[in-house]
Amino acid sequence: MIKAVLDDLAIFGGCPVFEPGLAPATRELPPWDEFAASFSGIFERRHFTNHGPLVRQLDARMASVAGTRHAVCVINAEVALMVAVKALDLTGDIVVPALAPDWIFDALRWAGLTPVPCDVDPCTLTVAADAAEACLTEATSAILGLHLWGNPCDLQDLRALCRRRGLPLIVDLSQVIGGGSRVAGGDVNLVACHRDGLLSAGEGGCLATDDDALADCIRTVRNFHVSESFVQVPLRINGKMTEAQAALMLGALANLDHAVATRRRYCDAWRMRASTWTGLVDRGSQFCVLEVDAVAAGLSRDLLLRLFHAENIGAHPPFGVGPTGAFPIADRRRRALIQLPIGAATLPSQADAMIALVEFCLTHAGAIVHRLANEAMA
Amino acid sequence: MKTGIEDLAWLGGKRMFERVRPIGQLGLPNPDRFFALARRLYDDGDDCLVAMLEERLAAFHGTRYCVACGNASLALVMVMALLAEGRHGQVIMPSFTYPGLPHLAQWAGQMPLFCDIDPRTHTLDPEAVATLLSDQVTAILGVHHVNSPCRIDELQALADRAGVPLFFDSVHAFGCTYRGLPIGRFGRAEVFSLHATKLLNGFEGGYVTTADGALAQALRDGIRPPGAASAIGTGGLQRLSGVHAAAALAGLDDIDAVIGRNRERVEAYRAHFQGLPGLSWLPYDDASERFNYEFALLEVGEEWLLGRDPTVAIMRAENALARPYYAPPLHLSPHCPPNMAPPSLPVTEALSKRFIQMPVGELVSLDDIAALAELFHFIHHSADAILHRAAR
Repeated sequence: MIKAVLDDLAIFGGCPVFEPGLAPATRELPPWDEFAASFSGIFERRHFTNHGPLVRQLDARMASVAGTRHAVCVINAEVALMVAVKALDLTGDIVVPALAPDWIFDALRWAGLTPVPCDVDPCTLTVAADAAEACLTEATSAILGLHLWGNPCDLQDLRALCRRRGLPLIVDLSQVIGGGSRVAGGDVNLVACHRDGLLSAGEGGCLATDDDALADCIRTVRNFHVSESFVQVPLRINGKMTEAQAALMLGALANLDHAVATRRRYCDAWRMRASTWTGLVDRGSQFCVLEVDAVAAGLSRDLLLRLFHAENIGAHPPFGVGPTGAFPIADRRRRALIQLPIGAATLPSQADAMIALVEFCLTHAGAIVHRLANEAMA
Repeated sequence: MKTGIEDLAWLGGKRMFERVRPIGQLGLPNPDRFFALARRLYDDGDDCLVAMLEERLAAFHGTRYCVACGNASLALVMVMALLAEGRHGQVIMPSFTYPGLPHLAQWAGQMPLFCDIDPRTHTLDPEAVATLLSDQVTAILGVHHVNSPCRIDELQALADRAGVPLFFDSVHAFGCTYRGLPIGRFGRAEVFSLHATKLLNGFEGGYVTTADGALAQALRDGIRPPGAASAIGTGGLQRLSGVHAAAALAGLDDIDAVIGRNRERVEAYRAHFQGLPGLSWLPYDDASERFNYEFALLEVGEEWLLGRDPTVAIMRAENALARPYYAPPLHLSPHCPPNMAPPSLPVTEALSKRFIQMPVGELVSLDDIAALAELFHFIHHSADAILHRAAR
């Protein structure tokens, strides 16, 4: 449904581009037959959780995908990060990119650490090593690095910094796995599986490491069982992933290369179109993330969000509230970024419709803003 | 059938059971119902399944609110953090219980304060709780056991007088009652588990029941981590997977049948083990209450010559994965925080030497129970020979 005039926009009462139930989905569930077969197998084995065969299989597959000796799967990303902190026995501060999802800050606090946000590089939007170094204090016990939307962060220098200072490096790989390049450069690497990321079949988290002793710590921290107690650790939790979660994740992994290729194709198409747009910059190579320059574009990120939501498109800011404090680059970007629901499950027609909508809004930006202002005053 | 002690798997003989006989419920969610529900996952996503489960569980327990969580441990962390209201203090809890509890208090920014128990109910002794109350205490955590709920009225009176919140780990009290009312509606909140070894199998999962709307809403909004006023509370600990909700929903209609089969097993154990000296069963003996008969708990007295731990070892070698019941007690285990001087808890310490959790659940048949009884009769007759052999 192409918009021709302002009245066609859903925000002005027009018909939304998508029906609520048929909006572009990013959740990539396995085909139903595979799902049914996996779960029939689980029911036959009667092994539902507690370190079952599918979880062990998933651990092996994730180690292979991450390129590490070990991978340990956990109930979800937040708990995975909490487990990593206790496995490393960290206390005090941790340097974190100021532009990081809210759940990372929360998980670090649950684990008893104080996140020290570090502003990001304006080009890569990730943390540069010299900026991280400037944030270090005597209380710093680790640094966390974050790859964004398919763009790897400056790992070599971060690793060198950590080595120099005797600090462990935690790396969030979630947005670059399957890219092919070796991105697992941390002492422990985290893969977060949320509903709108890669491997979005279900919730889950994975900790990948080459360090045998650390792997034993991780396996011990994430449960209370005697049989899975390998070493002394400071604190433990129930962080077990189930056979059900593993079945969904294995299904998603089997499709990973195809999913990544599809995402890249969509993102390449967006980047080409975006290069002709004024005020919108495409940021991701596996995720569709636009940065809005409100002045150049004529409309703000928040307005674009409203316009999309009215059309039943689940666009959202990739970063939430963020840490308190002043981080000029991160704060500006946080307010300017919008992530679009483009994934391997998106149909080409849906992607095209979203592009058309963006272009319509840009073309008519002034008129849209003007009309909304009038309506507000009326 | 063992004829000589060399037949014991513990001494190299053939195992009685090829397939493991476990101690957990391990019930099967009704597959047809599960797949029908799982289709909703494809059509509508996780949230509608979780909401459906919450509604049915609230009705089951007769509570106004039910909030689903990733698992019961995470639910306990969140409730403790919420009740502490930003303070770092202590949570009074038993030591005769699940090893996770002292860890979970620490995740919530609290320290465990272990408390002795009532020798009959195995739950918190209100007199002992009274001696531990102080302005350092941020909550009282009572644990209901299979054989009895906590002495709720007395604990609530204490809690009210002291102005300290009372809440419950009700993982083993699903389907049970206190004064005829369903467990789930007492204290500020009650926490249940959907772990596969529990009565209702959701693979893993947990939920909180409460009459407190503000508490329920706070759980839904996302609890802030302790000591972090600026933290957002993203709700990461609180999410239950839709596929887990589907499994739990698929088992909800079968609960009465499950409890019925549990009761049959408990009665079979009692019948077959009659006449063995020094052995008795922890009774489900209050006719005015409902039980779920989740566990068969064998009490080993002095007359049973072999002793509790060697008996467990012999069974486990046969692939019957019995285990000592809450032994060692938490305050004397590696789960006790390292810098904490363990208190003296005489009732707990005595009870933790006496019970065996016997194999139960859907993977243990009445024939298996008869076979275990035969094993025990054999052990009884050969006790001297076994002890002699063990001493070598």
